[in-house]
Amino acid sequence: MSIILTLTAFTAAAKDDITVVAACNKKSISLNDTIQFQVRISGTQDAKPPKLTNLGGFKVIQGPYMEKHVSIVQLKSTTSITYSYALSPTRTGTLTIGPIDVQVGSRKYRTRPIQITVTKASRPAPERNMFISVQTDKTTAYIDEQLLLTVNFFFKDISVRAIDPGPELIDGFITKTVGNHTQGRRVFKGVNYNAVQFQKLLFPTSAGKITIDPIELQVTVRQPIKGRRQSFFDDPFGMLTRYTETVRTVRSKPITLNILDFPSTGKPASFNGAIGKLNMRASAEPHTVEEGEPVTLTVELSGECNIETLAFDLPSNTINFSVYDPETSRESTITGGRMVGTKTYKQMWVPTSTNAVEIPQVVFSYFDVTHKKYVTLAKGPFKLTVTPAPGERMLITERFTPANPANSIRILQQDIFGIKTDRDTLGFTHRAYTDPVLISMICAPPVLLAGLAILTFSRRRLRADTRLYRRVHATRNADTRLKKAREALKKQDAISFYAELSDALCNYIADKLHIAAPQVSSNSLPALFGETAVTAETTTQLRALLDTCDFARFANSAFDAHTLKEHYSDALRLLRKLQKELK
Amino acid sequence: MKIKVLTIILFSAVVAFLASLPAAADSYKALEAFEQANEAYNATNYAQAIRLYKTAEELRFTPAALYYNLGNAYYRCGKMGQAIVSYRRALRLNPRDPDITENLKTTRSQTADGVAAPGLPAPVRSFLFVYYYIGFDELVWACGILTALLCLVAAIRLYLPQRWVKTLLLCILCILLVTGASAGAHWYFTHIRASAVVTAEESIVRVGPGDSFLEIFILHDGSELRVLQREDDWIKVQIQIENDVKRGWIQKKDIEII
Repeated sequence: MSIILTLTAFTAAAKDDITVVAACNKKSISLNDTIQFQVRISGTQDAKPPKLTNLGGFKVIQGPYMEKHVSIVQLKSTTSITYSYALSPTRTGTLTIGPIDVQVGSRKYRTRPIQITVTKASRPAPERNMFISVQTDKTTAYIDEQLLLTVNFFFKDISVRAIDPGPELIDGFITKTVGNHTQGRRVFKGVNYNAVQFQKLLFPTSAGKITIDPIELQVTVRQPIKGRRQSFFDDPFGMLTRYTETVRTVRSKPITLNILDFPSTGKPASFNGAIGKLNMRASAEPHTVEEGEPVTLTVELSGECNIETLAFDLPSNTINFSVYDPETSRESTITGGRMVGTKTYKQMWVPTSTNAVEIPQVVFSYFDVTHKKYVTLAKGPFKLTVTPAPGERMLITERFTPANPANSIRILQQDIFGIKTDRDTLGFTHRAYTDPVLISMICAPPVLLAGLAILTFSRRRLRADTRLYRRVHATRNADTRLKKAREALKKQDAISFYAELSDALCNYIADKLHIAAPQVSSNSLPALFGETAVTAETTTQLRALLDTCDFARFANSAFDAHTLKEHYSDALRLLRKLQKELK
Repeated sequence: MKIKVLTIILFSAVVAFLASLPAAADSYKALEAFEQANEAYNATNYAQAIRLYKTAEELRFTPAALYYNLGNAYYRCGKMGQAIVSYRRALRLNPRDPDITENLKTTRSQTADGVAAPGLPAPVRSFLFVYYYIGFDELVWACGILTALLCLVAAIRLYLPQRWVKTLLLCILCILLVTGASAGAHWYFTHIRASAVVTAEESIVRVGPGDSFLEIFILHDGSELRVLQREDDWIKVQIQIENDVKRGWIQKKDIEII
């Protein structure tokens, strides 16, 4: 409490030393630029924000932002209050920000006028409410040199819900994403925007003028649904406003980079495309071994370069050694927009004789991107003391298969084999299980086989069982005879007609009951149908028809065509009835 | 009657022909995209090549060469995880191609972790030896041909019940069993216990399916995994680090299932 009282007392005592100063951060600006305008009132913190009525061609686009200062030096306090504004010019020429009046208590203070020169805008200020700006930290670079691509998505006066971070791959470059996107306020050509920034590291893969195609971002924008305008009383808190989300595509302009190939002059033999700033450490441990004991050659390359594609040739002169494939490990991070890291090679060298006195020098070359020259790093040779080993150890080591069994074979570099372009060797171009030929090949044969098997077995069964065979074929035989009867009917041959009709009926009954056909007659029918389900009505009708047939055949009576047809229809009807009743 | 049957056959043939026209047009477009992709690759426009290879793939043009070339393009773009995915897809279709094996080996050597998915147990490998020599499409075709052959011999057996026919039938049945089991294994390891590869630069493996669970370890681009279980945006995976098998949950977006 005492501190507050003291400060109040000092403030009161210092009220007479009030000064008001107006200042700008620039004296000359372009039309689409902004200036920061400050009014600083020293000696008090009670002043209200000044009224900016006489800005002489400027308009306030942001502010006022208030900042208070209190400092105590040798028991004397100094207080001040600063009001800041962002001003934008409305025309070109020499504009004057007029005197600003500041009211402190009952007294009025006035600042001095400030003159600002406003020139024409180099480019028209963007009026869009969202756009993308893409830039790289360099426009000229060497193959595999690191380039930092910065994509800024600017927006204002809209609500952005989500942003698709754009393409992962860019033609002509190996790309690595740098961290997560950042969001904040940024001024672009004098206009304050919300900005989302994405960064990628680019490693050019080939030389020449390479154009980065326009980068497209998919932006989800939230907008209120336009409808009947509601009054304050309808929706005082805006809670009833409905929104819709639309996805918009925002596209940047293409940018062209000049990618240079490595200079051919002074290129060392050990150079295989590394570029950046690198250091090398190498060691061979242990120094003293017996024959057959392994020595580990460790080479560590560290620094700023594309660690992931960094390639290094280990020594090739492996006489008196069995050398194994190296193990590689790498660690890399992206710091300050640059990839830095370490790649370590560990290779086992096993002396096969006491003449293995040294592991040859390891040599590595890279292109120094800062000094634009080749740098060769060398370590070794690594002296060894190899003592004769007991016979057993040699036997053990001989069982290993060295990576380089023949010293004449040397793996220079590791790379993938080329693409396959031959149309004729493509093989299956579509998934087999979608091929209708294959599907029918798999499905149809089992179905056909099942059908064939059923047919074969049923035929065999029929052949073995005469009763069944006759029953099954009864209808077909009756049909054959009825067909002949129809032919006789057409010829008006009554005798043949009734003979076929009688045969059709008698043979059908004989087949169904598995008896000889002559046993079937008009008189024998009641006895034959005794244990069957044939009705008395059917039997009576059947007997009548058979009697008519016999009469017609043997009495040679004349029947007209109409009567023949009627008898034919009767026979058909009776056969159908018998089919049901003799099941 | 015969005329009716002929009309139905003719009508079916016309319908089948008309139905096959869009597919034929797609095949032509896919082949064109494939060749344009090859040209883009040779002109070192790897990102464009990737886009075109993917267009061809979307048109159901999926020879082993497409995945192999796609793997190469990803390799050139420094996307080792995606390259491994493509090479393994190519290998599944054509396991006898030494170029695919070699490129896969080279790509694996470029990965940060060098983690591989656990393989099949030795007895299963012995039984399903065909799995390692014949591609999935070839296996499916072999199954189709063997099924047709088996049915043909079985049909002959119905009318010619001789011993040699029975022996032949059993031989075909055994071959079909091994081939079918291998094709089934392919299907199983593609759709149920699928393999996956980390395609994000870095991915955290957790004890459970959610960001709140404890972090167990971190995997990098190119690490190969075996999928055990799927739950929304998380996948339970298994990895093998030398002789040790580790399990955990990883975000779906960080991996690609082969």
